[in-house]
Amino acid sequence: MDKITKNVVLIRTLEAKILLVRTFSFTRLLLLDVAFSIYLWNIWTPNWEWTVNEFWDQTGNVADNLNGTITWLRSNPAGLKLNTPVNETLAWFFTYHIYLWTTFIGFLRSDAFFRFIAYSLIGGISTFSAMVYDFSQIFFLHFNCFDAYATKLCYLCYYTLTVLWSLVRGKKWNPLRERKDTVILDTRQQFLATSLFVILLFILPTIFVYFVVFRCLRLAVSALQTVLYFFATWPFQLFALEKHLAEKYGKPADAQNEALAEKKTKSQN
Amino acid sequence: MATPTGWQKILYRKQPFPDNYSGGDAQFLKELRKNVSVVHYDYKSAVFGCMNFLTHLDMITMYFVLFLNILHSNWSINILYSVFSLTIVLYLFFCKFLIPNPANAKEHARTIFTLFIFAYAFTPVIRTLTTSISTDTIYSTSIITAIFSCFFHDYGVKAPVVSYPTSVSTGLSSAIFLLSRLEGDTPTLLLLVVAFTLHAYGAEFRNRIFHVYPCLSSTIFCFLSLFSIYCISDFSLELSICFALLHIFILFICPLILILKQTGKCTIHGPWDEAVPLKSNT
Repeated sequence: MDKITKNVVLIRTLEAKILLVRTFSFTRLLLLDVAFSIYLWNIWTPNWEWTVNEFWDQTGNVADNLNGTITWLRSNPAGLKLNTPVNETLAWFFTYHIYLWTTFIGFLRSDAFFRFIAYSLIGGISTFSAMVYDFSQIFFLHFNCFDAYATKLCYLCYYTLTVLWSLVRGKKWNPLRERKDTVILDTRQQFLATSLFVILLFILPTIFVYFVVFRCLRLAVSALQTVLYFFATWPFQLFALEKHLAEKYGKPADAQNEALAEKKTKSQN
Repeated sequence: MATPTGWQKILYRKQPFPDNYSGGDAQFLKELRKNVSVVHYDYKSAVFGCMNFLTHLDMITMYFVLFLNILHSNWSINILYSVFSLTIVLYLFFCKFLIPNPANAKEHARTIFTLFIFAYAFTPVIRTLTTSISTDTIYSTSIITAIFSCFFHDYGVKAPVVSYPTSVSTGLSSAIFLLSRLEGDTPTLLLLVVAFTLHAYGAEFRNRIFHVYPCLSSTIFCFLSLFSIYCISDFSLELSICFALLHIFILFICPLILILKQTGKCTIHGPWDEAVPLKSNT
């Protein structure tokens, strides 16, 4: 439960709003937020059904584009000479995950889900953005998974290659003295080291291509989520900015406060 | 005790000479020594050493020829089985007679079993490893790697460039590069085992054969050279002529160059050398 409350942007923003609702300058921003959401509601309500259908069509397009990316990777992208069996295996693996994700998204395809997001407009455009951000975390979960898989696999290959590169030259790392020592391998170990080294050396370009592609996809998704996060937290950011500027150039405000204090003192006297 | 008249290289007696006196020019130059660590070769032993090198070169060439003939189906698969059987027989002969302290049969059986099992497991991966790479790239990479293996190989002479792990690794790598061109798993497995045996045990086997049976080794070398030149002529007559000329150059002209240049060798040692501790007899 702590993890959920820490990670869900909606809950965090709502808690922060409750804390800051007594401050006039923040309430002013909140009113602007709600006004804009009312305006958006009036624009949006007549095209409710069209919006829902358009959204699910776009979701299907994302899945199709991902499958297209996998197909493009499968057919030696940019003229690279990838290892065919490794390429086929990885493509099948990611295609199956796309199929799983599509099935999972199919369960979310209901009006209740979309109404839930739409009704969050009551709390303002920032609450709506926070809700959309949280659901985008669910929708783009597979992008994070793909990047994690490719990164782990690429790093594993690279690390094993560096160790085997020392081994095929008769060296190994001595952790006790923190240096490289010469090692005499017997015939079996020499065969295994050389075979694994050559195999991983020729497999690494294929795995590296997958790593680059999925890392780029994840960065694109992160950029989109960053924009959503800004819209979810814009009242706090403006409030903090105003507070910062007031503190930095706050002499007139302080003077006013001091004047008010003096007036109160005189009236009491 | 009679007082010696000349200078002596001792410290316990006060002598009428400066501290840095070393006996004058005559005494100083008397300790001059030339060519302390030189090894004198005669023409026959130099040619014999070149035979050792050329035998390894011929073996690698024969491996390439075998691979190409299997790839193009010029030779039957039975020849590959014969080569594989010959490799196993030579390995057993090596273990039985040539190793100074032969291990027990259990250890050798374990070695053979382990190598065969892992080779069998790796064969499907190795056969598809460089499928998408062009053939010319594979051939050039394999030849370059084989040349590197020859550089680091052990030909019976103590040299700092010799490195057993590097030689075996590069040799096996050059074989693995080639094997992606084959269609079946069985030829890949057999060629992989032959290549590894050639690079891993070939050096010690060949050095001991040349040391224990010199005449037999020379005869085998002559036969092997002629056979390899003949096999290469099946692919390219010009290449076989170049290979024959390379043999003649390395076998007869290089030792001659060594003998001629040997007389000009002049390394000087004397009292001006750095002091080094004496090697202990243990």
